[in-house]
Amino acid sequence: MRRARSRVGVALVLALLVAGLGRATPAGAAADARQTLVVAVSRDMQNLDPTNASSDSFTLETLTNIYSWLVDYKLVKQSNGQTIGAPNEFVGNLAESIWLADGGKKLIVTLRRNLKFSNGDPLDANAVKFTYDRLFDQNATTAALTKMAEVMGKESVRVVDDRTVEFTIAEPNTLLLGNMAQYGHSILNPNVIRPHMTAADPSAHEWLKSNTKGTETGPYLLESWQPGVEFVLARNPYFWAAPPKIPRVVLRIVPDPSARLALLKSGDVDIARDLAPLDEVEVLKDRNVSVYRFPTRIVSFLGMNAAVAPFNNVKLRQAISYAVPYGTIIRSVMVGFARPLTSPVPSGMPTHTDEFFAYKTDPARAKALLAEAGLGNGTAVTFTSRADLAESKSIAVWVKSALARAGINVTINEMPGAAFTAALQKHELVFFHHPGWNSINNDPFYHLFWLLKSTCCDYTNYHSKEIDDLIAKYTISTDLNARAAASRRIQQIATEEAAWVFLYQPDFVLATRKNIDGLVYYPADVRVRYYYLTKE
Amino acid sequence: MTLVTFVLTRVLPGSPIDQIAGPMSTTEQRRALAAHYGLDRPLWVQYGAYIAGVARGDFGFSFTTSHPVADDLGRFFPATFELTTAAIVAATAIGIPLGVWGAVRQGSWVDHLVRVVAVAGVALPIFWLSLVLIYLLFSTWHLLPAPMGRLSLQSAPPRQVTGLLLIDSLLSGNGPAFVDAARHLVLPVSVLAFAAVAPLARITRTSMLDVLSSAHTRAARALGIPARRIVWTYAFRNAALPVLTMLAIVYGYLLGGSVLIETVFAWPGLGRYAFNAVSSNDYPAVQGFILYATVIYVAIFVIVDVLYALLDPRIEA
Repeated sequence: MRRARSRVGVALVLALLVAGLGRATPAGAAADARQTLVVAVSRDMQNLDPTNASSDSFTLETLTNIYSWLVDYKLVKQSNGQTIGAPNEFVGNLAESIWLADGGKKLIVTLRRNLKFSNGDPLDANAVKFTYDRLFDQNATTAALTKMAEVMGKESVRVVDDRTVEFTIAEPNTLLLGNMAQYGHSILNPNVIRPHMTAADPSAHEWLKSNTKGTETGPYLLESWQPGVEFVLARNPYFWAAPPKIPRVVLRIVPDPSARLALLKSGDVDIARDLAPLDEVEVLKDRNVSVYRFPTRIVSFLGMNAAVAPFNNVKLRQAISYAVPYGTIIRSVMVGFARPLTSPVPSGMPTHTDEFFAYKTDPARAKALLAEAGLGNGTAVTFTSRADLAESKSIAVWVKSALARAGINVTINEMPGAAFTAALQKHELVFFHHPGWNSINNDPFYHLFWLLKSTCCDYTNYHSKEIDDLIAKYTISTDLNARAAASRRIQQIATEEAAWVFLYQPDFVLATRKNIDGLVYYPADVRVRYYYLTKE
Repeated sequence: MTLVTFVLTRVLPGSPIDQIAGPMSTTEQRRALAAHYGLDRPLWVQYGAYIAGVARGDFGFSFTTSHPVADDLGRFFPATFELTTAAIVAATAIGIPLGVWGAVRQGSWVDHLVRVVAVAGVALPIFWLSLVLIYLLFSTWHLLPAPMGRLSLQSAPPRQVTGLLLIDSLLSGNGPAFVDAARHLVLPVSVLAFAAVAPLARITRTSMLDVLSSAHTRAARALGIPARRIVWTYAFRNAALPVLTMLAIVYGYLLGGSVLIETVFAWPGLGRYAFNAVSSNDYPAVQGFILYATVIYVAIFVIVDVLYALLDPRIEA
């Protein structure tokens, strides 16, 4: 009897399991599949306050999809048929018109008619004024970038009438529009934000970190955010232009890259983000998947701390630049999804030149330079790589083996991501791989200022009196010819003195199902605008 | 415990400000942020404020999720609890009979099987096993749903009562959600259970062998008591104490969250939450998680102590 009962039990369990197997097709799924875009993303968003956001890619991408700002990049169709947001051409966005007056000392912005926030509140010049007042009061990153372009504070932003705002520019320059065409300048709804401004938190930062309801101005609004699970964008009914082609975007957090690949191949998601380079090569063979690939202006380099011996010795820096296996790193580590970096100013940025880049992998030359540096065979250095980045770890291995051939012994020191970032920002790293810096403003002096002169981001402590003087003189200047000549000279010095080991500019790669189309690429910020995508 | 965690998180290199300030921030902006979050105060003042907060049930705000840590723990706990409990139930249902069987038929093929399972459960990396199972059961044979969390996108989640999807879907009479949640559980539960079966089967076998070779079992045999009754009524009850302890250790360990499983299956549980918190120096989240894990361990062992007393009348509560 007992045995019979246990058999019935086993049979029941088996039956339940089998009933659970097999693929269920939920009713209506096919009908609304075209209305929803499903994206597998690698991580969650963090802090959504536009003017003081965390710098992780999905936070910034969401801000870019749910907010609008006054000035944006002009859409241009390239000869290959691909439309891009041209990084150096600007048009009004919330603004119907923008024009520079008074010899570049005033920016006059006229808003479009009948603009509304996502809760239906009107968006007028007062909202713009409120946004910039808050931005300057908060005095965070966006304020710094605005002041960099010589709009110095609250008093520089004046309401002329309901639809017109005037920005006073202390010194005419080429940086302002590029610095304004980004999420930090999202216009915010005073009716929504003001109630959250308190004495302890006068900029309502705590509320804006995780809320956007009622203040969105972009094609989408943030419909829901389940931390650790997903965030969902839905069509903003009050968006000023045509509605997005796909009304809903579900961004599901799938941390494991192999799982994201499997989901894309099976068609469970429409787009898989941040695939491993080798997986990108694999999906190239899949007939149901499209792989978009675009060049970026992101610079990835080996930093050599010029304030620390022996890297203060220019001959050693040159020796290392002749020892590094450039081609191997691009072929093996980046599996071809990168192009060589040949100057501190990346290819694709105005004034870039590769004519001063003489380095190629040449161990004999490296050895000779090492001897000239007064350093013997067997010089020992420590290389720091990020433990959480696969490409950083592989590069460490290639650098170690290549430098050994030139007589330099490398010890690899892997650092956890948070510790690496902390040491990087304190300029304490000595010999390391910088995985990538993107200058959102496609202006060579914006780029050179941050990476070679600023107190925050000159991570290698490299200095040259001549470079410092040129950057000081030409960052704020409208003399394009003089700027071009100065940029050329800076590239010459920094390349010859081996300010960094110039490694590569990674490609931006996006893998989608074949039925996804319409992608518009924005080289300036390398962020996906879901607005343009279509799904057949 | 709280003091150790508090000090440890702060002596590790890096601070949450590095994560939230952004690369272009100036020293003054960092200082302002540190002041805003109270990280500029002396350590003992911060610790005092933290303990006072914990006493009120306030664990502080997470820097990475921007939510109160207590809310985060409450949000991520049900996913881990459901997964872990299902796995421990499955592991018990398989591991204990397997261990008993191995002991009773010592030296037989069953016994060898138990030993193979025990070794495999320890030796096979669960990360690898998960990927193989996903490849076969999802990618190749399409038998199980995509490894993207606890429910399919098409499933409407049941009204939240306990946060446990199986129970909530039953309570709200949402049959499709129940089936969907159960199907999503099959793979991660199988992998976790597979890893948990090994220690359970091994300790059950060893403990049973001890008891079966003892004088009182031989006496029972001599009295002609049926073998089945000897094994389950007399021997197993005596062998159960170490098994229970092992069960508690495994359960406590799993409830701490399995980072690998939760990562591979995109399971929004505490393991991943803690991993993200540690890797971005999110002090309040790390502290909150360790406090939670400590409480869970203590709670499980209190329950085990009570069960001890029930199983063995010689142990007084």
